[in-house]
Amino acid sequence: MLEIEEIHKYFGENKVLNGVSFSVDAGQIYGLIGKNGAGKTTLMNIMAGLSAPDTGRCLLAEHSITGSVSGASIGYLPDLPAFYDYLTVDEYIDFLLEGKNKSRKDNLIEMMDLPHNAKIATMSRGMRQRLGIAAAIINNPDVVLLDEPTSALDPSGRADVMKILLRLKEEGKVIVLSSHILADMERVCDKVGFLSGGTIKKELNVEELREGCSFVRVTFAEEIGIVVPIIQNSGIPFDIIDGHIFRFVIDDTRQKEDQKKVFSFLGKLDFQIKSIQNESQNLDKIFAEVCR
Amino acid sequence: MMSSFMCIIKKDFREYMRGKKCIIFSAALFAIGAMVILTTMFFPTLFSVLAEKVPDIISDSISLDSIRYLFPDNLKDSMGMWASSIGTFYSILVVLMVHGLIRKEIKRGAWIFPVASGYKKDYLMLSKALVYGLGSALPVFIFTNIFFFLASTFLDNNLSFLRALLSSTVLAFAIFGIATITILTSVFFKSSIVTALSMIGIVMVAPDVLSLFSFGHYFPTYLLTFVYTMESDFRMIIMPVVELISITGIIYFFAAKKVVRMEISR
Repeated sequence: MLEIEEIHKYFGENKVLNGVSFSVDAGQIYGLIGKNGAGKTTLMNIMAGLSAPDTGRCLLAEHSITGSVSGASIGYLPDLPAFYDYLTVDEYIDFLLEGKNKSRKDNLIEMMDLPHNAKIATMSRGMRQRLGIAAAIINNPDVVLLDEPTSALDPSGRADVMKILLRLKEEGKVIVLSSHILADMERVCDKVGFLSGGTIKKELNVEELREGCSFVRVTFAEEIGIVVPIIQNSGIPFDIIDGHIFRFVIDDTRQKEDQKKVFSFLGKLDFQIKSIQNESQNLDKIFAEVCR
Repeated sequence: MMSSFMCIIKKDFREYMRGKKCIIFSAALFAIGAMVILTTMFFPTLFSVLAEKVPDIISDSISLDSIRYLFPDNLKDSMGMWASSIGTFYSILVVLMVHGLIRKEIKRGAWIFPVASGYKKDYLMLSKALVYGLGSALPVFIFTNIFFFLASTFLDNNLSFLRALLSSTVLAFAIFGIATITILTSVFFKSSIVTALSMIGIVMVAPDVLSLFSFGHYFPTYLLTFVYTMESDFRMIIMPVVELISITGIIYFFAAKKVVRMEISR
């Protein structure tokens, strides 16, 4: 199990991470979602041991791995992986394995479907990304961190990378993935965390997201903060999107009863309603709300 | 540990060969050699023709001695001229080509996978310094000896092969020192151009300035002065050689400490 505890990081006066905490079990894929500049890459660098946090720590199976870049059983694929472009795939993997373990080299090259003798400089973005994943898991790490592994890849390249991730998950690895492509996150992640303002603003079990629930989104004509305790007492689950926008959760298994409950409750309120909309849940919408 | 270091050396050697630096260094030495040989062969003749045809242009102040100095007609002085051309032009090229090697690699994130797979940062740095040090020094050694044989065919042969061989070794060693120190010191500065300019300044100025003082031959830069003037007493360079090795060792010690602490993320 990977545990990230209260990570804080400043760059000069700029506070990038402000107490990030989450945990991921073996065989799980955790998705990190956040806007550009939210601190995802900084967090990844810290988890990979390439950068030190100001405070906080990373634990793997209850042992601190903070700041330990190698030998800590962590594999890391940066957002723009850099290689020695003058080498061939075979030579590069061989170099990373220190010339030992030829069978591991062959396995990795075969697993990632890479050409043995292609010069890295001549390879496509998709192939470079696959080589990056091979390099990240070269020492068979327990934790694999992937920063934007599917960015700039075509759909087939993305599908290949997703397949590899699912295979790594089956092997029982802890995988942390950051991506802007939320459809990919929904497909492979078990849990996602929304990084905003330097903290994990919201965590979501994607399994639940897939199982499905929908919402009734109600926009009032004015701010109605005063009504929050009344809604809380009603027992209907809800989110406050804005001072005057509320979202009531409808469980798909008892959709009719839940909707009836919401509408009868709204009828009792003495506030002017501007609009009522049905809404299904997906990561794009949650991202738009959480990372505004 | 040794096998790990040898893997890095092998990788850097491939970089040196495939990155065309080997060709660039050789081409520069070829150009310098051609320049020295051609000027030595043709300029004195050209000068006497000019003196005869257009005596007004060639003033009396340019004496025959100064012409002999600039375009020597003997092997020893010609070798000295070759060496000073290497010290001036080639060393600048070497410094300019190697000063950013480590910083650039770290900046673009090329060290992430090797370090994560278990390689030590100080080994990555040391290998780069050794491979490029040798890669810039070895062509000097080879071309200096080729120059000796070529020049000996048409110039007054007043230099033994053994002395030429030793001088070429000293020159190559000085270039090795310049390249390795440039690479190692580049990790101390955020911009490696600071290292490049400092090294160029030292190489250009120090041999001439220090030769004005009696203590000048105790400094490592005396190695360049020694081959520029084709001195014959090789005992005089024992101290500069020991100093250069010691200085390189000390710089490596501190550079290794620095590079181990450096963040290698992009």
